[in-house]
Amino acid sequence: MNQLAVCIRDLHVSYGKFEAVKGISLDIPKGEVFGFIGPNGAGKSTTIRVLATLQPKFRGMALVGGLDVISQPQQVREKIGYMPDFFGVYEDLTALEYLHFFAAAYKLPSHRRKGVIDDVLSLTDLGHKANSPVDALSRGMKQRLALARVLLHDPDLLLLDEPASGLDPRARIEVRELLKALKEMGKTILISSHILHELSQLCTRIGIIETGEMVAQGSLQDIFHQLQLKRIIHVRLEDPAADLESRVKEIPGVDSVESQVDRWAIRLREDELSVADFHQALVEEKARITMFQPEAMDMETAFMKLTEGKTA
Amino acid sequence: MSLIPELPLLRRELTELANRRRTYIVRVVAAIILLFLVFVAYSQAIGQRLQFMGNTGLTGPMQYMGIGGDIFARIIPLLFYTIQILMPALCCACVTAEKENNTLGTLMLTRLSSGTIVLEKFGSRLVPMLTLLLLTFPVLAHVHTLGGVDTDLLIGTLWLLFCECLLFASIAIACSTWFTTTVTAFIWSYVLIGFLAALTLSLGYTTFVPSAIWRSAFMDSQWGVTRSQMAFLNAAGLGFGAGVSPSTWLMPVARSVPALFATLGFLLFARVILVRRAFVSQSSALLRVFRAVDVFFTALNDRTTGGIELICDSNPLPGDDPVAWRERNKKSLGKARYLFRVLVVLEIPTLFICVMAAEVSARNRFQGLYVLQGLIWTLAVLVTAVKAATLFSSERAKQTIEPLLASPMSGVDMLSQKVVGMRRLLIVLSVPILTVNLTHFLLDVDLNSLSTVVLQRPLAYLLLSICATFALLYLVTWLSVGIGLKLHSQTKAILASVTVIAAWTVIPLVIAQFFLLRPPAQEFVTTFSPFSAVAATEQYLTEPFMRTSYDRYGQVEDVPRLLWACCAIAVYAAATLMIRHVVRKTCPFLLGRRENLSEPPPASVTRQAQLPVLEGTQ
Ligand SMILES: Nc1ncnc2c1ncn2[C@@H]1O[C@H](COP(=O)(O)OP(=O)(O)O)[C@@H](O)[C@H]1O
Ligand SMILES: [Mg+2]
Repeated sequence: MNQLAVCIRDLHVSYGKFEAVKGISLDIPKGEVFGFIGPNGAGKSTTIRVLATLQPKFRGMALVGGLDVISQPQQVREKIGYMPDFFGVYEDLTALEYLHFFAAAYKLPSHRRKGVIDDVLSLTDLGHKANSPVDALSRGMKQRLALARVLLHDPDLLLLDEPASGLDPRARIEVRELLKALKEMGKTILISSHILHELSQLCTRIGIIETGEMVAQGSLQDIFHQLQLKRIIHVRLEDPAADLESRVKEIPGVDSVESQVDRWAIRLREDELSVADFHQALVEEKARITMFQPEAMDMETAFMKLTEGKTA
Repeated sequence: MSLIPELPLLRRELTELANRRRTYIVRVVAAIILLFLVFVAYSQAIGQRLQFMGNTGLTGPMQYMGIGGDIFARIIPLLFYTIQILMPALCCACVTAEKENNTLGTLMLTRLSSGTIVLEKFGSRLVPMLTLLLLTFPVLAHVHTLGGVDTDLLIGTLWLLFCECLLFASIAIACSTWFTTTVTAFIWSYVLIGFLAALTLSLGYTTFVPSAIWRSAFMDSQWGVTRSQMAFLNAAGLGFGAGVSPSTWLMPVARSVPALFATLGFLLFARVILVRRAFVSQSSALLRVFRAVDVFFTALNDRTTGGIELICDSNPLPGDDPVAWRERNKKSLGKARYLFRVLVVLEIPTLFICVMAAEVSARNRFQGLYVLQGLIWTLAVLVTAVKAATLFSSERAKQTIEPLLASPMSGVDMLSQKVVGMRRLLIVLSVPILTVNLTHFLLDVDLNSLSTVVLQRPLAYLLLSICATFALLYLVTWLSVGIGLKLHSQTKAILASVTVIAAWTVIPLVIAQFFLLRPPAQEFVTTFSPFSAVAATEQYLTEPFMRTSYDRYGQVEDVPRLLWACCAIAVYAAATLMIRHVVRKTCPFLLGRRENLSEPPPASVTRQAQLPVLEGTQ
């Protein structure tokens, strides 16, 4: 049986009287990238802190790689790499010393440290900054340094709490590329964000959380299916025949055709008609296509639909 | 339209203060302590008067004549001390807290000018202090009715108390605007005030500190008798013949003008630098100073010795103890070269004074050295407490603790490494303390070797003082570390540890003094104060000397000092171990993380397999 990297059952976390997490259950199989989406204050960080063994009080069960967070926190800590949403770096250290510090804290044998640190520095593209004080690094570099730190002990599971928040677009893309590389290395990643499209290109599974409750989870496809969302395709045609619009509407699987200024916005029921088949069908209708642009999975709509009425 | 100008910041500050439960606790406790001390002073003044009267044989109503003056002379210094101690503590966080929370920028974006900000902060901190002082006014009024305090004296004193508040608040606010962290502002406020006190002592009459003006205007006297007492003595026909000049309130008020100007100066200074120092990055100031000092020392070293390095900070990478490594190699109070400088700065004046003390006659040696000893101990305890209290709270403030907590290092491990990192500092601090002890030792050996060669007592003394020094320093360390773990803010942690230590030290002494306890009970109660470990050791050395003078007055011999010293040191060593145990035990909990209680039960590994694997929720 495929072991789960993370297994949470009926998790409740309260801060005093305020219940921040109200009964979340989730599973992350090994090797998946799980995107944890929700607005600010939804309880993402709280859930991640539970997995990072930093939340001493909670109800429910949380297992990391089969280890219980409550009874074996030390073993769990060796398996995870946790990057908090807000963190400081020791300003009196250089990047290299910072990594050595954590290598020692993770009890890496000293003869292996240099090699490992060189590896993570080159992976995060910080080799040229190894000897500058951590204080002098830009925000994006600090974030990458934190990622480098997280990778030192080669954890199975990465818990990344909003790793791209507050970064400029370039740094954001760099972080994303780095995460892709990690995904290819076969790590299980739990990554939270309140920005939707940030995750859609990266995650194999998504959980949407709001006010402490999981609203939906599954693969992207599952979620769209679950919501019966329609794929929108923008098409521009050269001299369309007058009756082409009605003929297109006839194609089974096409939900609606909306004629806009310079294009048509066509909604597909994707389970009946795939994008490729639809393109084929258009060509068979003798349409001369100058633009064919399927809209990326519309997560914003998904999100709005899922959280309907609850944010009000 | 309201005639009172709108003071938005003042209102906000006062509302904020009023909304905190802490404010009330602190105020009530401070009021109780102050009133208690006032009461002690009151009863002591009466007791002393009765004793004095008993000696002169005067009885009847004359006996209480002008007693108000005696009481007044004892209470007012207390009020001045209260102001000197509390005012900086109240004020030093008022701007730095905004800096630490990054709210100062927002504040400066409002329409408030920097002058208004400084003034309203100033006002908001004066109000609680003045209300506290107001509490003692009924007592003062009562004292006034007892006679011996004329109205001029009362008015002048109240005015000077007010000026003292203004001056000290302005100093602390200037520090608060200059420094970036509450901790540095806190320490520097007291350093500045200590400097002012030293200046006062050396300048004498021309001083501008209100408390010193009060002392010289109303209390200056020959033979340690205050002016009001002198008036009484003259009236009773016991006068020493010294003329008593009538005291008027005009004179002290006129003399307080420099203090007011100084206050104004500090406030203006705060106003000017508020913007300039608002965004100076943390620690850079200290680093720059250290770097400047470094350049100076290196140059000096090059010129004098040709660049021989006694202590070079090798900069190794961490071994298996990263936390201790960072404390030792990266913190300014941990690096060998900085500690060496601290040692030099502390040790040279100490040695100087010790040599001076040895020069003067052996009989007189005790007073001067004891003052020095007190100063050094206070400094050492303060530095240790501040350092230990911020070990964890500073990491919390900078949010560097979470990554560390998520690592497999155990909490106890972090704790012990942090404390191990402090070891050098403790050794450096113990050197001047032990220097004074060694001076006592040498002087004593010198005395005795002339008559009988008894080295036993001095040697035992030296051993006892080493034990006492380290027991107490570690006691302070563990206590402050524990408090720093429990309280999350740096300022709170420092204030709480200093307060706890001060209270622990002083309260038993006050109780022993207040109830005028006789020897066995006195020693017993005093043992509850850590001060006893030092006091008993010192008294052990002087025991033979004291005994002869006791015998002369025909007093009964009390508890043997050796026994007392051993007991006190044992008690505090045990207390240290106990606190250490408690702190280590509760440290995972205080750090907010769970740790393996015992070896992991193997069952839980398989527990996962029995779970149904859910796909999706609900
Ligand atoms: N230490 C805390 N004490 C009290 N409330 C908290 C604490 N941490 C988080 N909360 C509250 O719990 C809720 C969830 O917070 P969090 O998990 O940080 O949300 P997210 O990361 O999704 O933005 C928020 O409403 C927040 O105010
Ligand atoms: Mg968060």
